[in-house]
This record gives sequence, structure tokens and C-alpha cells, in this order.
Amino acid sequence: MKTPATREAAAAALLERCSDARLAEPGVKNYLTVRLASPKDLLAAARLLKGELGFGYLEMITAVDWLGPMKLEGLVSSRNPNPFTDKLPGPPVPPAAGAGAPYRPVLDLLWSFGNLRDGVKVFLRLEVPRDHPEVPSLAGEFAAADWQEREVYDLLGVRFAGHPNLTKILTPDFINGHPLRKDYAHEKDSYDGD
Amino acid sequence: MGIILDKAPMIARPIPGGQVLLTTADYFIDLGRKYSVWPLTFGLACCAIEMMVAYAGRFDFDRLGVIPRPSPRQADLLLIAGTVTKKMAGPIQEIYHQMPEPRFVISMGSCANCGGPYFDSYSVVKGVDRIIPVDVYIPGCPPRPEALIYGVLELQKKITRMKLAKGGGATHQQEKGSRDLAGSNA
Amino acid sequence: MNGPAAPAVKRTGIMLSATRYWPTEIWKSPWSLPRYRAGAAWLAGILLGICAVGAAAGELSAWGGRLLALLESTGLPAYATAWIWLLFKLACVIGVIVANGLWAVWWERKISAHMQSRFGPMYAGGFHGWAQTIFDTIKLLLKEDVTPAAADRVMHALAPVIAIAPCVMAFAPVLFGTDLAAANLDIGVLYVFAFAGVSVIGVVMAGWASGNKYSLLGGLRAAAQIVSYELPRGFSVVPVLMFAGSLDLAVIDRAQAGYWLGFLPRWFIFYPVVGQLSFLFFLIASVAETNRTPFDIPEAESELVAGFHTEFSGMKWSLFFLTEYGYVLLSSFLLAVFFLGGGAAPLPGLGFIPSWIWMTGKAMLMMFVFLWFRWTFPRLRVDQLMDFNWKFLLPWCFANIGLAGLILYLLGTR
Repeated sequence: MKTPATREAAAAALLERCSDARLAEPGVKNYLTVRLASPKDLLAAARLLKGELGFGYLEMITAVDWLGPMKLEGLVSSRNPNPFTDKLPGPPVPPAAGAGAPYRPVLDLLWSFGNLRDGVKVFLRLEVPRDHPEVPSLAGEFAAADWQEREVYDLLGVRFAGHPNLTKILTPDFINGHPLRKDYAHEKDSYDGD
Repeated sequence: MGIILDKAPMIARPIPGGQVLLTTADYFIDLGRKYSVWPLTFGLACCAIEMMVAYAGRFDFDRLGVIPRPSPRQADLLLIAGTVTKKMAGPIQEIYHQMPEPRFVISMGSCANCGGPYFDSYSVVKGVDRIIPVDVYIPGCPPRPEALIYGVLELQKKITRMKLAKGGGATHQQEKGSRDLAGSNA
Repeated sequence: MNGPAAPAVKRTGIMLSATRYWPTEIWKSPWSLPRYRAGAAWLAGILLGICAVGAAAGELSAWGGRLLALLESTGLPAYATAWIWLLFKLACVIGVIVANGLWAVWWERKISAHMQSRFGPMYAGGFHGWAQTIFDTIKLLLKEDVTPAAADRVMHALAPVIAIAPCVMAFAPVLFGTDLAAANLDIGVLYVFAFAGVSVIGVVMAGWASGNKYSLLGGLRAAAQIVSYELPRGFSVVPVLMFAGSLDLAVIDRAQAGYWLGFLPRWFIFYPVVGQLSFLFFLIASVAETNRTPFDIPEAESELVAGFHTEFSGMKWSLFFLTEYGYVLLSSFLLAVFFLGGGAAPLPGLGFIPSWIWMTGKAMLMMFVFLWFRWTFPRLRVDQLMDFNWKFLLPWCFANIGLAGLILYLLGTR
């Protein structure tokens, strides 16, 4: 019988195993959030979590593109949705660079692991450069990572090294590029029309 | 009978009482089609939840003779209930072309009507009428089941105006012949 | 809780449930409600009307005999009379099947609706959607007939015909009342089962000819299922045949006349243990034979779109439906003949109502059981279906035959 995994034990083990990893501030809500230093640590951290700490459930993989600030021209129609009034607010304005919006050319990846037996959740974060985003795939460890990684690849263009079938999963074949990247430029296709 | 009249519309004229016969036939045929609109079991997004409610106890589509069929070969009505993404556009066209004539399309909800909140999205078709002809549009996000029932009643009204002889046709398909429509733009 | 307190209502009168009372302030009793009286009047009128029609018509088989005598008196050659009479009987049987399709679909939709607290068809035709199926038929007749490009054209067109033709033929010896059958066959039971099994060829053909993977799977599932359930269906009536001592449906019908102790009818379902088991097995196997829920895996909507008739539209498709409902009717009549005494009255003294009314009533009761099953039980998996047949139903059918033999031996009647 293993000892129940706790937040403190998981944090200590992760920080000991992965060099230069640190607790992320602020974390994801109040959960334990560990920021890894380099993609090399990811596989070791995942194996540690799954094999020794009992985090057998990969909840999700996602990422944020921190390029900014955005220019909304051409992305949001500026026409007023209600023709009977002109008092409606226009398109939303993106926040200026600052503490709340630390714009930088990186993709901030996020993994979420759950330990269903003990009810503990751990988030891993990792920054990769936008130009050449490549991280190791977790598909060998977690079967759930297969489609999740395909989705992140499809929408944000992160390459997962070692993934068995890294192809588009959501967008249709004729869409070029990765739509959730901030510098994505949509090419008009046959469904867009005027 | 419809085919005969399409190819040779002049034959009804010399027959004594031919036009009256046609009108009577029209009446009964339209009555049959009106009370037997069978939609395809097909939901795309959150509007599908309201569509399911419309089939169930409180609203009961079956009162109007609307009963879902699983196969497009036996369906009369394609209920586009939800967001039409560009990836789904191809299958929707295929389903539409699999349905036998006469076939009707109801576009349910803002997304299917015009793209709705996803108008600026890279992945949503801005209205299902860009890929297939639509008979009735139901606004709402999502429309309540009452609105859907009203849409079907409007479709029934439209069906009662259908004629065997072309020219007085009520639906887009009747007038244009949807088999001839160049549907594929993907 | 700012509003005024609700006045305490003194509840008097009939309690309908724990929380609902009959509003005696408005109506003294249910019978003071005009709608109640009107409904009761309708019901009584319908029942009395059926009885009146029955009493006036008398035995239909006698009318048939008179009609034949009239035909023979016209002086036509014998072979012409035979052919005309044959065609007349064929038309009658096909009429029964088609009218049954119209009636059963409407009834099923009403029953399913009321089981789900809905109303079912209400507007088509005015009164409770009585014309619903007629309108459906008009629409289906005028629907485009699609033959898929991948289909085998000839087989695709032939499949519905091959499915429905044995259904019509199987109705030949079926009794619609005492001595009221299109053909009087000594081997009636065998004949019916033989032809009912042929329809599966049409189903498999439909699945194969459609050129569609769902159709093919549905067709093959139908083949496996129907061929498997033929066995318990045949063996479950063997006790009945042993008791009656004949394969002739008319003899089976007549063997159940009379009463035990003056009130309990001598129907085969009332034979202790054996009769009830036989009835149950035959009912289950019949439901499986007609591809209806809970055994409708050939057309399982959640797995196979629409199964073997996925690629059929318009009238071709409705022929499959007509076949299905035809077989339901056939099974209902067989259940009535084998187990419910056929045209015999359930109580002594009710013999003035003609046998065809009793027969039809019993068959309709059985058909209601079929529809009831459909909207009550969830669908079985393929392997569960086969396990149920081969590991449970068939062995118990054999045990039941042994039990019937034991009873006959102890009674020493044969």
C-alpha cells in the first residue's frame, strides 16, 4: 500500500527530480503548479508522476501563445451588430503590455495530471520559443496524450517529438497554419465567400 | 406523375377536367406530405438539445406526424440544428444529396442561419444556406422548442403550396430542381 | 416569504394521490365531468358497435361458403371458378396485410406516445390522427426512389419483393376465426413456419445488394438471428401439437373448445406449467423472429444507421415495414390459435359473439403485447442475443417437450 500522495510530497519529488524546476507563481488557481526549466525534464517528470506518485490520469494538455498585443483589424468585424443603436461598445481592446499581460514570443504549455485515488491535481508548465516549439511527446506514457497533443499541434503548432501520428485533428485539411497562434492569417477558402 | 408533367406539361390540358383532377391530386398529395415530414436524426450543436426536447413529452413533434428516421434515404427534412463548421460542411452536403426528393431543409438557430456568434471564426460556415438550399429559417440562440414547432408549421404551409406541375412550386427545390444544383464548392 | 400566507384549504372529497385531491367543489365525482361521460360513451359505443357488427355478420366463413356457391351457380367452368376463388382469397389476405400495416403503425405510434406521456399523431385527419398512416403512405408513394450507385440494381429492387412475398404466402392457412382461413392445410403449422423463414433471404439480399457496410452488417445479423430463433420457435409449439395431435390449425383451434369445471376454458395456455412455458417461449421467439425490440439488432439505430434497409427509400422501404408488421400480425394470430383458444369464447355464455371477433380481439391483444415489449425493453447485444437463444431458450424448449410428454403419459389420454 502506497502512502497517499499529497501536494507537498509531489512538489518535493518534482523539484528534486527536475533540475531548475520551480513552483510557478501564480499557479493555476490554488493547485500545485510546477514550471519546468527545459523540455528535457518533461518525460522524467511525467514518469515520476505516473509511476511513483500515482498520477495516472492526464486530464489535458493546452498552451497559450503570448505574442502580443494583438491588432484586431481584420479579425473581428467592426460593424455594429445592432443597426438600431450606436451606443454599443465596439470590438474589445486587448490589454496593454504589463504585469497582467507579459507579452513575449513564447508558447506556454500546460499539462494537468490527476491522482484520482487521493484527489490531488498537479499542473506542469513549460515555455518553448515560438519559432521552434518542440517538446517530447507523452503518448508513450499516457494514451490520452495522443489526441490532446494532436489538438495542440493542430491549433498552436507545437511539435511533439516521438508522437506516433502527429497530424491535424480538428481543422479541415484546407486550412493552412495553426489558427490559435496570434499571428495566424486566415486565407479565404470556398466557404468564406464575400 | 410529377415526372410526366415535367417532361410534357401539355398533356393535362386536352384531357377534360384535367386541371381539376390535378388540383384535387395536388390537394391530397400535399396533405400527405404535410403531415408526414420525417426529419433525419441529426444534431450538430446545442440546438440539437432543443430539438430533442421538441420530440419529447411536453412538446411532442409526433402530434404533427414528425417522427425521426435514422437513415437519410427515408427522411424528408434535414434539420440543421447547430453550428455548421467547415469540416462538417462536406458531410452535410453529402447527406443532403443522399436524401430523396422532395426534401426540405430547416435551418435552426443563429449559427446555422448566418454563423451567429462565430461569424468571424476561421472554422464556421457563415450560414448553412451557403452550401444547401434552405426552406425555413428559425432565429434564436438556441430557438425554444415552440419556435421549432412554429418553423415546422411554416414548412407545412409551404408544402401545401406545392404543385405537381412546375412553375407554381413552393420550395426552392421544386422550382429549381435541387438535383441540378451545383452543390459542391468544397 | 413576504407575501400573504396561503389560506389553509380544507381538503375534502376523493383523494387521487398523496398530494392531489379530486376537486369536489367543482365536480361531485368523475362522472359529473362531461369529458368523462363522453369518453365512456365513446368506449361503450365502440364495444357495442363491434358486438353489433359481429352479431349481424355472424360467421364470416358461412358467408364465404355462400359466395362460393353463388360463384359455382353462374355456370362457369370449374377451373375458372377455382381461379377466381383463389384470386378473391388472395385479395382478401393481401387486404388484411395492408390494412394491418395502416392500423398497426398508427397504433404503435399512439401506444409509444402514451407510454412516454405524449399524445402521438393528433392532427392528421382530424380525430386523433386517424389518417396518419394513410398520409405517410401517400408521401412514401410519391417519394423519389433512390438506388445507390454502389448497389446491385436488380437485387436491390428484388429484395423487398422477396421479403414480402413469403409473408403473404404464410398467411394462407392462418385462421381468422373458426374455419375461416384462405386454405385448409393438414400441415398448416409446418407451412407457416417454413414460409416465415424464407423472408430472411430478402433481408440478406437487401443488405448485400445495397453496397453499404451498415446494410451488410444488418443483413448478416438478421440472418444469424432469424435462423437461430427458428429453432425455439418451432420447438416451443411442439407441446401444443402433442396436446392437439395435429399440425392442422383448424384442429388445434377446435381442440381448445369446452371448459374445465364449467368456467375455465380448455385453452393450451391454461395447461399447468407446460402451457405457460410454451406460451412464453413462443412469444419471445416470435418477437425475435419479427426483428422487433428488444431483438432488433438487424436495424439497431445506434449502431447500424437503419440496418438492412439503410439504402431503401420510398415504397421499397415501406414494403419492408409492411413485412415486419405482417409478421407481427401473423405471430399474433398464431399465438391466439395455439394458446388462447382461437375463436373460442373465454367464458361460457359468450358464444353468441362470432368467432372471428374473438380471434381478432385475441390477436390484437397479443399485438399490443408486441408493441408493449418494444417500448419497454432495451435492446440486447448480439452476443447476449445468441447466448439467450442457444444456452437458455432452446434447452428449456426441449425440457418443456419432455414435460408435456410426461403429462400426456400420466393422463393416459394418448
